[in-house]
Amino acid sequence: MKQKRKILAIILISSIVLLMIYHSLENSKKEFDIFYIFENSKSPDNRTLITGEIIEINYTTKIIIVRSSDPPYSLKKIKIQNIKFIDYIPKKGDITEILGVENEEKNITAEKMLVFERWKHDLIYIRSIPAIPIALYLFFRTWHFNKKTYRFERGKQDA
Amino acid sequence: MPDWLTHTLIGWISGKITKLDISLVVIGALIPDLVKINIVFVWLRIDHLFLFEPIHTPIGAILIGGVISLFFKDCKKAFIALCFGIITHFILDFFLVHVTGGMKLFYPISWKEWQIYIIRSDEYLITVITIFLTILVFLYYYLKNKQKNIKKVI
Repeated sequence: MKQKRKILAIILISSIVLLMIYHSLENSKKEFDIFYIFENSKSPDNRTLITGEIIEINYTTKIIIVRSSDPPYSLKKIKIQNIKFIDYIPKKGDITEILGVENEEKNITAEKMLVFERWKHDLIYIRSIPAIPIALYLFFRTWHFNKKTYRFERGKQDA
Repeated sequence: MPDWLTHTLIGWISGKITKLDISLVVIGALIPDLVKINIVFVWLRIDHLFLFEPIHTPIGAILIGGVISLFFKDCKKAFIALCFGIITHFILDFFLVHVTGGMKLFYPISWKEWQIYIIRSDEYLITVITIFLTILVFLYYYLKNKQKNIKKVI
């Protein structure tokens, strides 16, 4: 039984590792194989998605500089002349998601832009912190680890 | 992602209602966000090569749930509770707004990304509503137990 568990663990962990390696190798080729439930359209090859922090914003030239949060974490200059800001004007430090079109000179023009105010974005992480002690409390209130059997065993009744 | 507090509380509510192991449903609800290990790489500006993304796919999260369930005596029961938590996570994440893309629900068979753009990830009202719902559910079960105990005494 113990042997069976070990074999199963090896199979499961190997499968996760294989999925991760496959994703890493194929990611760049499959980047825009997207299906929209409402829009049902496929993005052309020259579209690019940039997520990151706004480092600089020039309202007169309508150009922003974004530090990408994806590798290689480079700075990207993006034209935003086609974007109309409805209820919020982005500021330096805000987090943005931009769907842009890259031309042959590697200039990117934003087509769609989603802006997260910095404080609201940071609040996501702050709100997440209490979840860790809550989850740990609920778990260890119910289960304790038996070092001999290498299994969690039920202690008290359900939390 | 909605914040972890929302995922945890929704997991707690779901576990309570379905009478599955609450603690495991809550752990399951957080499994897909193990992908956030990415953040460490981003902070250190190290190329993570998009290695961890499959953790935030149903198959990746279920496999991790499978590994965790092996540490329990009744691993089938544990696996079901963990998977239920994982499902609540994906249901919540399904409604998040992005400029494009979404979740690779059928990875590795398909790389297509699915999403319904309704809720912004920085929308804290969802967390407030969830906290309120949790209090309601807690009070409901608290009062129900109290009534049961009174009946037993009588």
